[in-house]
Amino acid sequence: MGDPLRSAVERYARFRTQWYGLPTLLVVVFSFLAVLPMLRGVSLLGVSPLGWLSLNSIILTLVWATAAQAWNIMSGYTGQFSFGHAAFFGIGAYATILLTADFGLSPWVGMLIGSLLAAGYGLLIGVLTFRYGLEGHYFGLATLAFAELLRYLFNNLAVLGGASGFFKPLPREYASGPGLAAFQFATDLPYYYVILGFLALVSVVSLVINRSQLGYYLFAIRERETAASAVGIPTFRYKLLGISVSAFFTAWPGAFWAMYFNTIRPDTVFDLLVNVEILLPAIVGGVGTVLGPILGSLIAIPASEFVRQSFEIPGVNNAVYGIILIAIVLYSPRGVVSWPSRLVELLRTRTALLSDDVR
Amino acid sequence: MDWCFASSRGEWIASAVMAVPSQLGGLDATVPLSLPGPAILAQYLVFAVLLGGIYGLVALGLTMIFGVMDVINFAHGALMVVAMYALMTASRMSGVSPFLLIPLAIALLFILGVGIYRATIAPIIDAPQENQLIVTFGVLLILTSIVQILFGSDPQKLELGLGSFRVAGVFVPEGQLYALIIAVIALAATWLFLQRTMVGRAIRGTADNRDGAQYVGIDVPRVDMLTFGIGAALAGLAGAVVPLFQSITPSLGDQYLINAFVVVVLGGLGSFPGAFVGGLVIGFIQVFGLAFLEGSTYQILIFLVFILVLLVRPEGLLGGASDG
Amino acid sequence: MQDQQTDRFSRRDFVKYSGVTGVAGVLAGCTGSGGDDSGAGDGGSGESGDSDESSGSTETESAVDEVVIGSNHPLSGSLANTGVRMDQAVQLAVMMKNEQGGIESLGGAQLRTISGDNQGEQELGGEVAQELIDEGANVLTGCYSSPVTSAATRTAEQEGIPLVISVSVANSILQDTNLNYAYRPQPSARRMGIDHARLLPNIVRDAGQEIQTAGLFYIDISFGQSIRDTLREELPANDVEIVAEEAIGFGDTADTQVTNFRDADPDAVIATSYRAETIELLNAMDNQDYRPPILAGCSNAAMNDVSALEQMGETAEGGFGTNFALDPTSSRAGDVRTRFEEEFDSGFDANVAMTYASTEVIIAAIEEAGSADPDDINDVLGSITVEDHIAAMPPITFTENGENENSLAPLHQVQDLRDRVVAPEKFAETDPSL
Repeated sequence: MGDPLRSAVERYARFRTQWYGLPTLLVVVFSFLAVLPMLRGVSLLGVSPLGWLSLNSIILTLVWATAAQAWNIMSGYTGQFSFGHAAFFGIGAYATILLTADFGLSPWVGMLIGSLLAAGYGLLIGVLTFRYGLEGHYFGLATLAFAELLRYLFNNLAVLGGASGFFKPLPREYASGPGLAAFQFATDLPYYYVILGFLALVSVVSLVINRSQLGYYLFAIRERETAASAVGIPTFRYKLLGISVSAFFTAWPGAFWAMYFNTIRPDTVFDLLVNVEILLPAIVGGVGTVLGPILGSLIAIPASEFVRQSFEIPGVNNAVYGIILIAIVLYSPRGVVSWPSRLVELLRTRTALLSDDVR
Repeated sequence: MDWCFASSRGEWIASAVMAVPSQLGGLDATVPLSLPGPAILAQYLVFAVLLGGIYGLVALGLTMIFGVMDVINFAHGALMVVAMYALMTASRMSGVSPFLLIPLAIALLFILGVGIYRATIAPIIDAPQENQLIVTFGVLLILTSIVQILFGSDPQKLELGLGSFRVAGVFVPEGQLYALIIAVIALAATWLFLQRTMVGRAIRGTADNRDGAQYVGIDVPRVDMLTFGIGAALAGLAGAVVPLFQSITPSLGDQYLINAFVVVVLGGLGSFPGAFVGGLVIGFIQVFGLAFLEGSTYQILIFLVFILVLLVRPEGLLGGASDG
Repeated sequence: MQDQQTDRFSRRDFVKYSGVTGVAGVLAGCTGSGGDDSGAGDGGSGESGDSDESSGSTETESAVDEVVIGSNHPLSGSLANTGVRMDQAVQLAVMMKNEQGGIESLGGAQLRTISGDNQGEQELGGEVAQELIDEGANVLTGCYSSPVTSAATRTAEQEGIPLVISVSVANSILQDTNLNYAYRPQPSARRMGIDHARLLPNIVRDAGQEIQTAGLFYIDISFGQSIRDTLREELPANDVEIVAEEAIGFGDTADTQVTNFRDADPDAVIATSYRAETIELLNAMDNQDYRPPILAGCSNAAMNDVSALEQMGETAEGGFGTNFALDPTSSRAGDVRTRFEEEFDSGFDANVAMTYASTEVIIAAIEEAGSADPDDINDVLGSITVEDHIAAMPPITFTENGENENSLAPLHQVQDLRDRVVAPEKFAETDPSL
């Protein structure tokens, strides 16, 4: 009776090992995401199964998916666990809104400059920490310190908005009105497709790196850095490349945040929790994989949303969400991307047992 | 908003150039440049030591778990909060002095710590470190939410009627002083425990070399369980002294947590005396930073010092001292 | 845009029918005495007794004889202590209007409150606003934390539902935007700073005392810095020199800050902080045997909160505060305060008063519109003048950008550990004692 399931799963496992497996899956996932806003309105037998999912919450899901995807390029691929990506997120948010508000630049230019600044800050962090050989928890705590440093710097500098931060200017102040050029829209749906575009782009970059020579070097650093360096891979340079690319793209969801929400402050975009929210989808989904951060985000954030709507008593939702996080990590330490392969293993051992019985 | 930041370009640059030096690390612009009198300076000194001692105490449990198990316990601050509210509730309900109830808070937190270890840490002790981070973060969410649902988020204060001593024009608040004394006793007791008992030696052995400990017959999972329990108990002790001098809220743990991270690294991973040295460094930066720098600029200084120590002396100011 | 509106089957209902709320019900039983947190949903503990049952039922849907006010406040998280009370203020205003026979111009239509918990998170400001709108809110109020309010104004704007801000001090919420559906009866941070810098020195000097120097104590977040920046400008304009500025962070004690004040020795210490930090300030003053000649709070809710004043004790006595306040000359205001304390068994502070007044503005607008249609209500809000409200403020009427043209933050003094308005004269209930 398990046969059809088993053969389906086996076929899937074979498909996954093909060169086109992952890209095909990505196309499937992104096609799903492209129609997701419409799916929320579809009702089956009088019940709309996705009706509870608001556009706002799936936009947030993609914000964190994009950030996690960017985080993954460095921390997932090279194994240098960053706990301070809020720094890059916040730089992206601030540069975008500040350059638009005070200098009348296009937010897109602001975002690009923000990305470069974030990459530069990443480079600085990398040069210092890698030069001094920080690893593991020490590296994680150092990145956290670099992020917290920015939070207090922005909080204490009036030119950077102080604790009140910035409000995004009206579109007519720097563009002809709302629209793609202004990075501001009258409704939420265009925002959704902008962040979906960001996620797609960062995912493609991640996929390309994953498949390239660079990816092999980064993985080598993750597995055995000394060995990698012994066979002549310039590990220092590749780690720097990893952190800059990662920082560059982490600034994008930050920029999006600034334009989507009206206002940013040090205690919203540099908040300690932002660090957690950036890496959480990757861990839930599967660190070091292209699909992991997307799937992780698609599970973690709607789960938090579902729990929030389910409990009438304020505060209970956070406790339940904590339990869910613990359960996912405990029962799936390699992330949800490992579920199909674990199913394969499970079915194989089970059929092996069954056939033993028959004999 | 316009009084907050200049809006035109020229002004912006001009104010940026002018503002950076005066705002960062500059002396309080509004206060005439003069050194305060000796009584005031002595007062700062007293506060720096008191605050540093408390920061050291707060970091003890964190540094222990970090040093032995290589786990960053994000729930450390939340464990403190549990102890704060447990102590306050027990004291209010029984009418017994909170000082006498501190051992109760410690015992409760030890049990809670062992429970958390068995349920969440033990199954994934060999998994990548980020998994432990998420798990302890989950515990943080659960504990904080429960405390908040039970007690609300209004700040609560334990009415002890503690005042302050006045010595040569310098005030020493009783609450903080007792907290410091308790901290020093805790440091001594834990240090003796680690140095003089079999279990303590097993814990130190495991901290030095986990694989080696296994080979010489130390039951490492058991040591881990005890370590996590003791770490939580120390968080309980730290949490139990906070209501002696401060009003408490369910989110108070977060603030102490960040400071504790810094203290642990400054002092050196797993080093108990180091935790106090680190605590004093932070205490001095905070008090003198508040006294002479504008706003919360001292926080920037703390993280700069933190990064500097990480880079130049990652083993911490007193790294390895506890092994001797 | 069709996808903005999910079908009648609202999200919360979907989840409800999937059976999860059963768990919540059990947990509700467990919270016991912490019952004042149950502000979410349908009115909670305050519904028992004499109030009519229509305000208690959320399941019945009929748009004809009911108008729904969506209350979007932090009911959990670190701001929950105030957020829950603000939510209760909305409920009380609605309850009292219903007891008086509902909306007259709608033939006695009943008002109903639905509450959402924004947790003080920017991400949830718009989300909760959307949920409340989906559940049928005709008009919204909220949200306390300014970034959250700002996010909610976005949603209100897109959906065309008016939002009357309960409390949110940040200047920029309305000033740097052109919102058509947002209104703020309360004074902004800037307004409050200006009123404080004018009223406090006046009253002190009128009493024959001097105030030449001041020290500022502020919480180092947006709220504290905004007031600080205004006071930096306005105090010198009123001949008061700032001789010390002391910041405090969340969870810190105020020992060093008080030592700095002792050293600078200002005539007045002006505190802009939340309850916990204000308690720490006074505690540290006690410990260092220091009390400035004049102690004041600017936008400091602890100075208007009887339970906080009791916690702070004698040192707070005689202190001044500038904040929104109840109009002591109105007998209705006193009734509201008493009723609130009875109904919810919790302290009535400035934020509660302001939220109540904002809800009164909403109710007046519905009454004047004679319609439950959000656009009709919004049109009225644009031109309304609300004379009869409980805040110590002239009639509330909104400017082009939605700010209250007559917003005012009166000065009060703590006398016998209660806050009594002492200035301006129009609202003064007692003389200042110095």
